[in-house]
Amino acid sequence: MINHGGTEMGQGLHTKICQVVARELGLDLDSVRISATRTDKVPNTSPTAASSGADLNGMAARDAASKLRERLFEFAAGHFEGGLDREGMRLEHGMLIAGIGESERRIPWGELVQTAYLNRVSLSEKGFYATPLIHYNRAKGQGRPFYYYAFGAAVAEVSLDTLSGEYLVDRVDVLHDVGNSLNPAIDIGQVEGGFIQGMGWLTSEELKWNAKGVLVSDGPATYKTPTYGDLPKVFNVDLLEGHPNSMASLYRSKAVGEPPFMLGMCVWSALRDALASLADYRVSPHLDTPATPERVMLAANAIRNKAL
Amino acid sequence: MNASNSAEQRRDQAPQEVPRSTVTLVVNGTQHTLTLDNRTTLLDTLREHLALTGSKKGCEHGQCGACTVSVNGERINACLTLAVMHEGDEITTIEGLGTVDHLDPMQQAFVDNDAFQCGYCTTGQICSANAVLQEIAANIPSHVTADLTAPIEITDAEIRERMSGNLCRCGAYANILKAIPQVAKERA
Ligand code: FES
Ligand code: FES
Repeated sequence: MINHGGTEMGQGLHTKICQVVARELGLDLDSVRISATRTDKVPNTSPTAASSGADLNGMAARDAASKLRERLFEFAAGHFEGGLDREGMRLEHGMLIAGIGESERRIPWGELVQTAYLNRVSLSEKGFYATPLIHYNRAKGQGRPFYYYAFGAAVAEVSLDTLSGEYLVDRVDVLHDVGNSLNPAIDIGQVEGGFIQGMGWLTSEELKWNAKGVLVSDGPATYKTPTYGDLPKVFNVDLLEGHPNSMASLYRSKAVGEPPFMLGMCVWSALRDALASLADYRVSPHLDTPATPERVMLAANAIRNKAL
Repeated sequence: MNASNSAEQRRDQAPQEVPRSTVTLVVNGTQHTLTLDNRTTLLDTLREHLALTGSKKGCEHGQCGACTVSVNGERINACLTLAVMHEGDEITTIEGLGTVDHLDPMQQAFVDNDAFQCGYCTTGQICSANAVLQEIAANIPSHVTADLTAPIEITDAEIRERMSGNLCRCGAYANILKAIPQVAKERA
């Protein structure tokens, strides 16, 4: 049972934390559980923000799990009959394994923890992680605010109707860097969702205020988040493989929540490129964001009027 | 000031009686008779009076689809309809589709294809997706149906058009679009 300081909001954080602990303790994912995030268990949590949820809480969970593992190893080495070889001791497939070849001994996880409990060994542990190396001097505007960077590339193809300003995203190809992925299915979902949100931010999600300063695009009828029709007709998302994080992050993975959001810019750039084609690519079209059909139409008109 | 006038004044000051009606709904096969404030939406009735919180309230004005349920076999935004309009109607919510041990094929397909993230839109998506396949099977045309005389095919364009009333803020559309044809294929 794990309790960590991050908020699960659909990004798969709980799953990733369970994976970390299962890996550290050599258990099946099924035998690891999460209890609800509460500040009476983990006080002073950092916000689950800035895509740091897995980086911070995963490392803290790993810290706790590895301390627990070392304690169980110490106990097992001294307790079991005949003594177990402390060196090379490992937890795998729900077993404590000591020694190799002839002298190998295996103790099932259940028996191990039950025996440890009866011998008054603490079976709970707390872990902590602070991202190393980061510092920032506000006065000088210098420092290292980030431990590492995540990279991504995206290409978009659009077609647009220059009379109405309506457009379609025909194809998008994304390659994104998550270092060693903690969970490719979750990470691809995060990249896809991040991209869609980024595309919405720059195309259809328009905040409009009236003269009195009242927000008038205040619901899904007027504030348009992407829907099925906006999903690119062809949408390929791949994770960059074979590039572990060069910094010692959680199993050399990288944060994945927000970085792919920026990739949505390729749709806006493709729209500008399509507009530029109206003047044989000799102009750099002025296209404010979000590039709603209305703005695309006005931009097309501006180019055409100039050309006349 | 005469007597009738003051009686009128008294009536104006009296707390207004809220009109209430009794309605019988058949929800997931179980009959419920409720006396409700006439203004109660079907969605609030399900969530607040019957403790069926699977149907979600995203926008409460018919724009997001999170509250989609089935009424007499047709999908409806439960936030846009009043419970008292549904005397005797058969209502199916996500709770009536499947259970954790016996998932409805559409629920299973969503799990298989990782077709959700936070899950808030998911129950509405699943109820809508089932209805979309029924509507296509019943040859009900949509805005993108090219040939109104031929049987409608389950294409990506048809599914996108028919699902467009169900928003997903997490942007899980790509995987939902994999889940729905999987069910169609299983049924074929
Ligand atoms: S809550 Fe009913 S459509 Fe959004
Ligand atoms: S899964 Fe989060 S809104 Fe659709």
